[in-house]
Amino acid sequence: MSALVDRVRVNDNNREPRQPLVLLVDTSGSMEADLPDVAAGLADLRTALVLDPVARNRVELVVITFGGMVTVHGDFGEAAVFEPPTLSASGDTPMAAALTQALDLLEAKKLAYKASGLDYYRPLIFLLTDGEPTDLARWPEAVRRVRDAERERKLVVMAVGTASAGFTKLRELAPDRPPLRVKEARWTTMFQWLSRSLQARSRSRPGDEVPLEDPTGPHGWGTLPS
Amino acid sequence: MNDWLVFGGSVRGPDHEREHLPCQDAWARGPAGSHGVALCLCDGAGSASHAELGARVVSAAVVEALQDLHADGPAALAEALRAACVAGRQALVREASAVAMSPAALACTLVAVVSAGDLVAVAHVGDGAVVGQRAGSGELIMLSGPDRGEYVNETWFVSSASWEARLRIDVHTRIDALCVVTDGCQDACLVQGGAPAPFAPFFAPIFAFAAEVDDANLAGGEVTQLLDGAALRTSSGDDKTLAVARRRASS
Repeated sequence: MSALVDRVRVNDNNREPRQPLVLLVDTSGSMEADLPDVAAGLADLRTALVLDPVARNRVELVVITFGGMVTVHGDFGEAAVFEPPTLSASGDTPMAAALTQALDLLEAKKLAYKASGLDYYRPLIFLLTDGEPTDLARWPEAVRRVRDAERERKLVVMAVGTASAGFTKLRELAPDRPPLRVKEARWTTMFQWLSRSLQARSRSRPGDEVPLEDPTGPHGWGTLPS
Repeated sequence: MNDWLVFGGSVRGPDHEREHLPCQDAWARGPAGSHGVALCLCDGAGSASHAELGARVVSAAVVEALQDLHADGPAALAEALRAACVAGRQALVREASAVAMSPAALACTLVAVVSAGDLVAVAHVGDGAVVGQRAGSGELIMLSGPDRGEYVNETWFVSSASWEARLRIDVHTRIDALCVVTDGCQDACLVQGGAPAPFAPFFAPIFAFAAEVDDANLAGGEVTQLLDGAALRTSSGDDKTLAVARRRASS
């Protein structure tokens, strides 16, 4: 009689659970000075995720820029095939429209996961901006949708402002998760933090809590805006 | 002599080895009345500081509560199993108080099985699975599948105040053998998707093996070897527990 371990076959065809991420990047005219650093950070994020054997197949991401208009760049797909878009600054700041688009994309993504029987983690929206929305007529509706989604645990929204950003409007988005200000343009540190967070989340097991590492420590990239 | 042979094993997962965490799974087995069998598997929550204690206390208390089982019919058996789960939950709350922690610090899932005559009852809170083998045909049946929240890293625990709302109890008949697993085995042994199904190349050899063996200790050693083998270690970094019960041929 051969050993049990040699008789049993393991199912290795189950598909990996997914961690969806929408990166909302402000590309309005005033972001010009910051965009090269943001682009370099996106490239680093891509490298870190591609090199991680778990995260490369589990993290699915898409970049949406908002500068003059809202643009969705490429497919909402696996980190393994993610190509960071070219970023160029122009126009005003349609942040409400961008947030609305992100929420719609994530709802559609969840439906697609369910339809194909894929398991998933709670989606993340990461918002990078230097200022306040200019599409103010749409802002209250966008805030309501974001807050409802957070309260219903549909997603996590994290807002990050540049050194010169105004925070009055950003604070309305998630009362329990205040927006952070990037210290001294530490975009690289911030993207490293984001890739570590995604790697940890995409490995978590049932019952694990995955608190985001505190970015406001002495070596972190962020501060709470006063 | 008991009508059932029970064997199994529990191992620490590669992730817990690396993080120097203990095995947070626990399981217990025992007689249920004069001929039946009870077993209970608990998977401690990764986020709970005393998860392994919760898993140990709950699994032991559930099995103990079933040892003098007298249940006539499916409703009585389901009720006896529910009462045993309540006893398990009470033991968790008592233990939490004894170590001055909140029940959530001892959070764990629960899968319990009890047999009486031709009946097999399964109680389940959270993830893990029970797969049965139909008497006669040998068909594999999902007796109880994993239950969790919308997100893959969320599940339900017996420590939660609303645990009874997540408690599922089903009574089955014509089951010759069954296999209970914790979440760490799920990817390896189920076909995941909308409604998870047993992966036959995993379970069929286990039930064939169970039919051949008579020594529960030796068989348990083989289960441990399977759980700690390369294929299952690759499949999941989590702790893994697998227990099998099979009806002895009536003599």
